[in-house]
Amino acid sequence: MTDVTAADIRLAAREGYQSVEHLKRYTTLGTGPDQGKTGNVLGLALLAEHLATPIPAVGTTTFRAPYSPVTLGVFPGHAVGAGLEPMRLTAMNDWHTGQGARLINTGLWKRPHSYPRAGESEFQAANREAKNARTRVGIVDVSTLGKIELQGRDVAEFLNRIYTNRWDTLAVGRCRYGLMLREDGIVLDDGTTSRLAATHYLMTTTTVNAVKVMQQMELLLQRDWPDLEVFLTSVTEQWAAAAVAGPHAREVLQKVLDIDISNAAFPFLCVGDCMLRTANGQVQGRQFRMSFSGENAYEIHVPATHGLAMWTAVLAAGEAYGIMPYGTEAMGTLRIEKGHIVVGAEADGRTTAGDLGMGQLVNGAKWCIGKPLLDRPALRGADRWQLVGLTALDGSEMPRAAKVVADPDAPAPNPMLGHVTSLCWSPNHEAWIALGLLHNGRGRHGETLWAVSPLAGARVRVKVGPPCFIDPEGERLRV
Amino acid sequence: MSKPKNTGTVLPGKNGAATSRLTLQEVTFGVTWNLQGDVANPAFLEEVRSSFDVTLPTAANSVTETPHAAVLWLGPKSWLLLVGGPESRESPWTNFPAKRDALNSVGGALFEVSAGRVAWRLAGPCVTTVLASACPLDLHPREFPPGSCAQSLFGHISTLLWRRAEDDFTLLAARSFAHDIWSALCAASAQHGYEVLPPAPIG
Repeated sequence: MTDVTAADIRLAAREGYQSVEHLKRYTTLGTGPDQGKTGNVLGLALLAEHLATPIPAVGTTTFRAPYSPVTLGVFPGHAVGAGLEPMRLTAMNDWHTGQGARLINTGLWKRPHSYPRAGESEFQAANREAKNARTRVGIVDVSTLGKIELQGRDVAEFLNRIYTNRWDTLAVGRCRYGLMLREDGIVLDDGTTSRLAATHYLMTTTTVNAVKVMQQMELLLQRDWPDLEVFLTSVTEQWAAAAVAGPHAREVLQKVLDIDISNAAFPFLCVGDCMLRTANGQVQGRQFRMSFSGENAYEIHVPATHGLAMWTAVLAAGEAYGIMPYGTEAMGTLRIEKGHIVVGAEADGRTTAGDLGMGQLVNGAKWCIGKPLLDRPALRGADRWQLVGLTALDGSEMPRAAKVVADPDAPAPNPMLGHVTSLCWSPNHEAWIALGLLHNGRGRHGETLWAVSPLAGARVRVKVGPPCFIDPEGERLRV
Repeated sequence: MSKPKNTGTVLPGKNGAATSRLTLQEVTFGVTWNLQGDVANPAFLEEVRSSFDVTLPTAANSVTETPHAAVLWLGPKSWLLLVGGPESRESPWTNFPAKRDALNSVGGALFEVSAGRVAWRLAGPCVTTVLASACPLDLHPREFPPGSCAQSLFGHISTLLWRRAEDDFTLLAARSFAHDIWSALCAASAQHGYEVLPPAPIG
């Protein structure tokens, strides 16, 4: 109902708005959420009284849909609560929820946060899982990573143009980490690409950027380089994937695989077809040796219809080695300990490869998208914010969303030297640690600064160091 | 009777309004391959003909069928090959790597996506009413006759819709959305009454 009063109606009538259509438009009578179902008859009666005519003689305004009032709930229908937006579930989702894992959103995907045991908090569970992956072996569902297959004569040339590093030297059966830039030189996405056969490649993208990267590649092939013979398709939905990481990863997987994955036969950054023994029988899959955790690690991909069988087969094989599943929280801890970036947190739309300590991935001998604009003076300056590792001192907890300052007592506005991008308790380093972007960060290793969060009333002394807290030489990857 | 894999908690049987005017059935495929290439390239066409013995539909959003396979147009250079199941070693729908290599060598491509989708067959007199409640396509037979396919939406979810006969549609969606799209199909069908049939290979 609109707030039309009896006085308003009498005033309208006195001013000459004596047709019901005029009355409606002058006073807004009948245009409220009730669409006149309660207010109109009263209003028409008042007009009739003023005009000294019977009510029916006043008439009614033209009816429009919805004729009957409609509750707001009819319009959203089922699109409320869990139906508010679509959800994407991996082939292993029922297993995760069966273990009591809380699901968290990653784009539309639902991923298990952690697997708390009886009496354990999520924090304790994630720390146990992260510790176990470094000391024994862990398994994590990575089905949600974007997966794009490329085929055609010119794939290597195409990859050379869209990635900062070189791809024409990648042999069949090998994988490589790659960095993509936007046209302005800022980091767009990272991932790996594997050469499955002479003219057949598999690219992985971050979970959240999969659609953006696919669209970018389609656009480039159709608009800029129609002469390149490259065909693309998304295979994210085709493959269920798990990463198996830790000192016992090889022993566990060797029990269920038909191929030799010894260090000599299957070194770091290899890919190969394999058969996996599961409760459903033999399943054909793809085996990769790559690592986001920093441990000796493998990824196993099987057709999504066999995802659960693969998952349970690896868990059964790993039981004697103390295998534990780990969720996104422990996955984050493991990668923060290693200083592996995440697009969104560290690569925040303002950072170059150089800022992230990956300048050596920008090949000097070839062109790629974004490279020309990397020469802008502002991107080459010495005062860039650069990726660093921060360790909280004095036994303090690293504050969330903190800015980094030299003096926490300086008068506002306190000059900001940088900010924390990701943080965690490191069960392996036994300290609160963080990654951050810091003004001239690489020149500040060894300095003590302050991470402050005025909103939370938090101020913590932090020590600046390189963005890697575990195995800085990367020896664990190659054992 | 085996429980459908991708249909949440709804088991085979009648649901919703008392008079069933719709059947919903999960359909499975032995092989789903994405074929890409240029029909202006004779070597590509010859390879497709000799490898699969199918005719590629070239009209936008059209489908060709053989007794064993269906070919759905996805784009000017892209098709989806659907097969119930390779019956024998001699079937054209085996030995993916050799077929991929052969197509790559003539400027085409073949991608293995057999596990990437789930599909449901929707049939019955009110099937277009149910689909229209959540799909923006004009489903009038004049615009979308039998033998048509189109990539569209059902609710919020991307789908590939294929009309096999006036009252007989197959709806394909990415596997990770199976739970949601099944809920949406049941919700849209409830007022008409629907019967869930046990899953079957595409026929």
